Amino acid sequence: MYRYTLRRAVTSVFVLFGVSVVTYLMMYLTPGDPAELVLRAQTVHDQAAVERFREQYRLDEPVWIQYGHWLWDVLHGDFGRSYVTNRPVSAMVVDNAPSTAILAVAAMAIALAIAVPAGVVSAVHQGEVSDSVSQFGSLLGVSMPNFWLGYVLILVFSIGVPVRSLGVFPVSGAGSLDRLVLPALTLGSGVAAIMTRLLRSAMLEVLEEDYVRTARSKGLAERVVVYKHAFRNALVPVVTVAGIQFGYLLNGAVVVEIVFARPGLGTLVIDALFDRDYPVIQATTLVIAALFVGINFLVDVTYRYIDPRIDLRRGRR
Amino acid sequence: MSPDGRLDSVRARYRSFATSRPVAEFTGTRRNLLALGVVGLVAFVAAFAEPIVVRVSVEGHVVTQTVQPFSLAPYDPAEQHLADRLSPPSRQYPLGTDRLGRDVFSRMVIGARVSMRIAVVVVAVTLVVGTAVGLVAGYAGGLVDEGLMRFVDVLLAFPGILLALVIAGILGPSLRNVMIALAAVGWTQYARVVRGSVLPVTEAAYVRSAELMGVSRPRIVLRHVLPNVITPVVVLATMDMAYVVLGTAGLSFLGLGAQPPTPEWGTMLSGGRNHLQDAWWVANVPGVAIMLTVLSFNVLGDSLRDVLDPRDVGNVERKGM
Repeated sequence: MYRYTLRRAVTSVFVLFGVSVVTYLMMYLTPGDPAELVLRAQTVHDQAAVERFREQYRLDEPVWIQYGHWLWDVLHGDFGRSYVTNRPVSAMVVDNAPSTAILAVAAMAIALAIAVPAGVVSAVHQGEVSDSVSQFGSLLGVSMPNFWLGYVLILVFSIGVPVRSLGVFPVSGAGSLDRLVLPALTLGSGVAAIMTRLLRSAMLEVLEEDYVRTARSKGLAERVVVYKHAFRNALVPVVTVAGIQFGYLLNGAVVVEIVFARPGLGTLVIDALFDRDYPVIQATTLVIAALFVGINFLVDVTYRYIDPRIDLRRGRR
Repeated sequence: MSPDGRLDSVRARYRSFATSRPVAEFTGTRRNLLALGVVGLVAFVAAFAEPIVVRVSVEGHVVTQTVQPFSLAPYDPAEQHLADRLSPPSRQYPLGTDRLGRDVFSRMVIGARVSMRIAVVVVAVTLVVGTAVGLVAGYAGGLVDEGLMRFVDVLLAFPGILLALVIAGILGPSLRNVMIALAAVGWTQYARVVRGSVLPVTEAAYVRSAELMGVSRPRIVLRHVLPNVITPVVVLATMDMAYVVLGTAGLSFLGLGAQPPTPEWGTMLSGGRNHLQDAWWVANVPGVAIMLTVLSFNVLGDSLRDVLDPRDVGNVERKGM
C-alpha cells in the first residue's frame, strides 16, 4: 500500500515535471519573437523598447536557462509578472481561482444531484419508460456542447423564452448565488450524464450479486435492498469517476466562463491568449494541469484504499 | 378464462416478446440506423454543399475541372443581404438570416463541409501517427517503449481541451491551427490503446513463428500485428469524430478557430450571442447541427464498442466543451 502510494507519487512528480517543460516550451510555438509580438500588440514599435523588454523578462538568455529560472521561481510560488499589466501572475491566479473552484464544486453537486436518482431509477426500472428517458437524457447530456447549452439556458431562464415567468436568472457575472445556477448547471450536464450511465451499469451489476439475492430472500423490503445493499456498493466506482471528472470540470469551466462572462481561470487564460501574455498562459495552464494530475493521484490512491480487492496493475475498472 | 386473466396473458406474452433478443437488438439497431442516417446526411450535405472545382495540370496547362457540380446552398454564405438583416425563417430564407443578412441555411450547409473536412483530416492524421507510435513502442519494447510512452503520459496528463486551446491560441487563430492543435492532442490515445493491445499479440504463436521464419520486422508489424490491434482503433476513431467536431466548434466559438467570413458552426453560434432574444435561429440552428452530429458519432461509437468489444477503449468521458 505505502509502496504503491510512493511509486504513484514519484510518477506524478515526474509527469508534473514533463508538464512544466511542455508548458514552458509552448511559448516557442509562436511564429516570431515573443517580445516583438507582445509589444506590437501594445502598439509599441520601438527597437530599444524591445531590447529592454527582452532584458526585463530574461528573454535574451538561452531557453534552458530561462526555463531553469522560471521553474525555480515557480517552485517558490513566483510565476513572474504579466507582460500586459506587469502585475505578479501569482496574484492574478489567486484572484481568479476561487471563482472557478466554486463553479466546479457547484457543477459537481448539481451533477450528483441529477445522476444519483436518475441512475438508481434507471437500473431498478430497467427497460421501462423511466429507464429510456434517463438513458436518452444522458446521451443528450454527453453530446450537447456546453457553449450551446449555456445559450439555451440563458434563453429560457434569463430572457424567459417561451415562458416569460421562467426568466429569473441573471445572464452573466459572478458573486451571487443566482449567478452561479446556470453556469453550474451547464458545466454539470456532461458529468451528470456520464455518472448516470455509470451508476446505472454499476447498480445493474450489483443487483445480480449473491448478497442482494440473500437480502431479498430474507424478505427485506425492496427499498432497503436497493438503498442499503445495492446502492452503497455501487457507489465505489461512482466516487472514483466523480474524482476524475472533477479534473475535467476545471477544464470545461473555460468555455462556460466565457459563455456566461464569468471571471475565473478560464476567462484569464483566454484573455491572456489574445494578449500573448505568456507568463499568465503558462501559470494558468500549469496550475490547471497540476490540479488535474494531483486529483488523479488522490483518486488512484483512495480507490485502492476504499477497495483493496482492486489490483491497479491491471488497470482501473 | 376471465377477461382479466386473458389480458394478463396477453401482457405477459407482449413483455416476453418485447424483451426477447431479436427485438431488443432491433430496437438497438433502430437507434443505430438513426445515428447512421444523421451521419450520412451530414456527409451528404458536406459533399454537395457547393461545387468542388479542382485545378489540374494537363501537359503543362492548368485546367480547372468541376468534380462535383451540385450546390445545396441557395446563397453565397458570405453574401450580405443588408435589407433583410435578422429576418426570421421564411420561404426566401429557410432558416432566417444573421445580423449581416447572410442566409443561415447556406452557412449551415457549408459549415457541414468545413466541420467534416477538419474531422476527417484530424482523425486520419491522429489515427495513423498514434497507431504507428503505439506499434513501434509495443513491438520494440525496452527504452524505445519507455521513452515514447512516458512522453504520451505527459501529454495525457494535460486536460485535452485546455492543451488544444493553448496550442491553438499561441499559434494564432485559424482553422489550420485548430487542426494542428487537435491533432497534437489527439494522437496520444491511439498510441496508448494500440501499444496496450500490441503486447499480448507479440507473444502469440503466429508472431513467434513468423520471427523464427525470418520475416522482416516491418512486415511482421504490418501483416501480423496491425490487423490484430485495429479493432479498438476503429472504435476510437468513430468517437474521435464526435470529439473533433465538438473541439473545432468549441475553439471557433472562443474565437481561436475559423475567422470571418468562413461559415463555421461554432463561429455562427457565438455570433448569435447578442441576438438570442430577437433572433433565436442565429445561435440555435448551428447548435442543433453540432449536437446532432456529435450525438450520432457518439451513438455509433458506443454501438461499435458493444459489438466489437475491444477491452481498452474507455467510455465517452471527455466532453469538456
